[in-house]
Amino acid sequence: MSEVIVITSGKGGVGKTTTSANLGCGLAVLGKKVALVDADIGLRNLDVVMGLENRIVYDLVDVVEGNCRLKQALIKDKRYDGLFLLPAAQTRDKDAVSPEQMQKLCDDLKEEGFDYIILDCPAGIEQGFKNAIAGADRAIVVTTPEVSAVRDADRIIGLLEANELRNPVLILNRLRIDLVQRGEMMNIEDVEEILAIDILGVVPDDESVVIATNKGEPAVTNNDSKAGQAYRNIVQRLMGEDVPIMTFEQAPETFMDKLKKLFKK
Amino acid sequence: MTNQNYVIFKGTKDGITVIFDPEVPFPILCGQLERKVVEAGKFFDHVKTSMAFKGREFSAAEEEELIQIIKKHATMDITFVKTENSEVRELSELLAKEMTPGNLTKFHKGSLRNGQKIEFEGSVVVVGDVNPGAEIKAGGNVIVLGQMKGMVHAGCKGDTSAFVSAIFMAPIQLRIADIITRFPEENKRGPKPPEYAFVQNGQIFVMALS
Repeated sequence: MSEVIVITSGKGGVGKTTTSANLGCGLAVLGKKVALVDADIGLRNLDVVMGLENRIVYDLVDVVEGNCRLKQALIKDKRYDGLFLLPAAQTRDKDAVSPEQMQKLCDDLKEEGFDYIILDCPAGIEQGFKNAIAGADRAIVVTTPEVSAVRDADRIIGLLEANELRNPVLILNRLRIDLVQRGEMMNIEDVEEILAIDILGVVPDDESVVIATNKGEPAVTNNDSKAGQAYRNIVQRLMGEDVPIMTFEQAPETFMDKLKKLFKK
Repeated sequence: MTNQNYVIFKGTKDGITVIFDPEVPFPILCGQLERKVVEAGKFFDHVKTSMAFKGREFSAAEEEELIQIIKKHATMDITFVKTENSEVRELSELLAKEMTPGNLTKFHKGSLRNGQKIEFEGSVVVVGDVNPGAEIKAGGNVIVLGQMKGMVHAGCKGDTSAFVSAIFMAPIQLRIADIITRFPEENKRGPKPPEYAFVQNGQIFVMALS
């Protein structure tokens, strides 16, 4: 059984590409055969985040236009068995492919025997979005706990439902525990109340993600990283296991902690 | 001929009943009515009453003419005029009103998300939330059985008697007819009872439903 999952958000910069890369790697580490598809034609990033930029020969548009076979364009990630990347074209734009072509591409990938096909959707609700969701079986909506991102997520969920992608699930990304505890950031319940969809996972704001992304090594493989743990939990939930949402509550600072901090400065 | 009583005034506990002769031509009736009102003089002054016309059927124009004659000669405040055929007419008017699209209601089950819009010439009922960025535009009333956080426009064709009601009222903007108001921030925080908004003296008021 193979499944096409689209990762989308509406707003840009909330972590669609990072989430795609981490989920892809996480699933591959657990022995699944995964294809990561970058649907962001003209503004590709997934190859960079995966550290595979220098190995691109053919891309998605080449496959769709018949310039190469699908297998030729799939880049095998040598670090993780079973992980492949289908990069986007950089010198073309979203109009280079149609929703019907994307649907066919997804069907072809399913025939290749992939367990999971993860589509990294571009920001926005235009052609690129329509292409990305055309072949998808289910959708994951990524948002950050900011009002603007949540508004866009709400818009996207409405569009997904209108396009027969029922019951999308949510990943709440970059949650700042300290801000939430001070009541200065929306918490999980606030976001859940507005969007009224199931939460697949919550990823805390973690600098290790930025460091890992810049190195081209997804954080999911980093055992010391909180965000890495959050991504591993999400991967398990994707595979149907019941893993509770991490709690992020930090113990309040003691007097000694404050004193230590003071001397550090 | 003119001595005959074609118009008879009768006081009842519900007000004044005027009984008209069913046979004589309308202008003669008018003349006699006018004379009687003048004769009565100050008797009808500053009286607030309802009036019933009996004895024959009048057209709307004829009715209006009779009322004008009475008002011309007496400072009577007629609150309500009941005629022989009034009940029939009211009912048919009501039915005609029911049949126009303005009196239909659209029911929407489920929430309205950002970017979604309901536009309807009648009233709209949403069974669910209306999220920020969603819009409802209705010719009639709007009722939201959930949280109203989007933009709502009731009576969008100019009907100031339209109202908006929601379980939790916190719209970004509230419009009734051509009046636009921003919903005050401090009123958007809960918990609070269901509310409804209506127009009075050209202003939108919001009141709790209790």
